[in-house]
Amino acid sequence: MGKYTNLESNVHSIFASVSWKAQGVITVPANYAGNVESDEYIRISIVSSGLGYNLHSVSGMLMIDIFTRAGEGPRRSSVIADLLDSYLVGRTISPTSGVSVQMMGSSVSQSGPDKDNPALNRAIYAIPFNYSEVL
Amino acid sequence: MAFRMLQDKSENITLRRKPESGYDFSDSSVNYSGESEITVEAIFTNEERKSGAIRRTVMLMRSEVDEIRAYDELVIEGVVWNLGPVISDDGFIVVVDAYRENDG
Repeated sequence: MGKYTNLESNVHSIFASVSWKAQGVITVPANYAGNVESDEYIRISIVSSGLGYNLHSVSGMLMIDIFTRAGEGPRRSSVIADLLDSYLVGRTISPTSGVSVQMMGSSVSQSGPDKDNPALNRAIYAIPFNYSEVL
Repeated sequence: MAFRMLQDKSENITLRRKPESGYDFSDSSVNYSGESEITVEAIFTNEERKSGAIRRTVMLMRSEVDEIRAYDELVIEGVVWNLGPVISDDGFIVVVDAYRENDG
């Protein structure tokens, strides 16, 4: 597989784990069109935007939209962000031999009501990463 | 009523139901809870060709189609059309756009 497919597989392996599923946070990727019949879920986007250590590496940002009920303050999105931190910050993810994703420190910003569904509030959790492959 | 008045313009097409039940991160695929097909009456009100795609606006009877979901498809003369978001649904008539690539 190529580096972008490997990167996606490695990052998504976190959300495929039994441990993450047990947290009960509905999780969908970017470009998922299905109905999410919940007033709380997260959406994962991988943005590969920078140079890596070699031609088979890349850096970027894992962007996670956190949707919670609108009008109830930032606490629930903060709780979910802390949960994401416990799975991501400072972690090296390498389920595939010869490749690894090093996660850095995170940040969260509140962006207000979701434009598609104003009944939900959207917070953006962002965490930079470095993806590397052994040549 | 409006649907009945336009009945001579209606045609029978296939609605392929693909109700999704989430996303499987372990194999990067959408989960579907079964797939089924029903024949429904449809009236096409508009067709537009743009940027290599064809869009047709279709009216369906709510009593026949129930709820349209994101991964449902129409099969018209053997050709599969993807559905966009529902434009309107007054409880009697559902209006939705159907899309496919323009193959020539």
